[in-house]
Amino acid sequence: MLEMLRHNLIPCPFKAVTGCDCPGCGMQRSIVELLDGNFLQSLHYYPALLPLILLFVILVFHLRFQFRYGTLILKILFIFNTGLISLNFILKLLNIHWL
Amino acid sequence: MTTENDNIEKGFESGNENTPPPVVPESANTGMNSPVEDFSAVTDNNPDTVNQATAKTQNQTIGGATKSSPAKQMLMRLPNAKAILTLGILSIVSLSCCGPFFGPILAIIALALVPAAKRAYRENPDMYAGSSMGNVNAGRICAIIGLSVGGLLLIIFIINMITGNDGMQFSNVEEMYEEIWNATDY
Repeated sequence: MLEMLRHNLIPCPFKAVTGCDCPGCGMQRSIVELLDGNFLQSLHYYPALLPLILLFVILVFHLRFQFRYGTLILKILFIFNTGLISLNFILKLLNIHWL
Repeated sequence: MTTENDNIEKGFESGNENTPPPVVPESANTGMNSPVEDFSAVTDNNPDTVNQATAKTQNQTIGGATKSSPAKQMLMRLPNAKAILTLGILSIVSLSCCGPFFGPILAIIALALVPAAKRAYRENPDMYAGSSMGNVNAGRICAIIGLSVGGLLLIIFIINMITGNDGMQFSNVEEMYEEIWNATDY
């Protein structure tokens, strides 16, 4: 199953046109590695995946149970995620491999 | 006439004084000859609350008609508050999973839903929950950030597609940097 996923990833139209990675490139590889259990490899491919999953979980629970500081947590986590994605994008453009 | 009287009786049986009274739609009011007499015929005991109820029903046209039992749910949620928050967050998530194509669209939809919710809150702020307004504000901020980031990327994409460069200018940054670095003879 994982091997089938690994060989059938959806290509990126941004990368096809511009020739460089888009801010989301690496996410599918990261998901596959996460399903396989390799957290470090998943972080290496796409560092923002785990915070994004956390953001989604908090969003669903907040919509269901209306936490008191839920919106504040969501806003902070959202800005953190945006910063992480942008930083990852810029570093990938400059060919700097961190993590 | 019997259906409207039933609604009013249910409202007064279940509701406290703080809860918003049930709303008779305007189309029903137009058929009546004298609506005040109908209200007084239902409850003769407390005419003051009847007058308040008639005064409020003329003001409330947007919200309260959707919920038939105001006693169970003290404060209503704003319309589309959850949708605004979800769309605002999805704008940046979709940007990270399928390119900068769906993100700005979702953000624009979220921003387009915001003014209706704010207007509904401004007209009668006692009726809606404050946390719902917080959801709307958070969704608005998320949508603005997602729209700005996604729009910037979309502009880069369109410029690159029009000019037809095979390979982005950004990919040459490292070589330029190395040339400048070597030129300094450090």
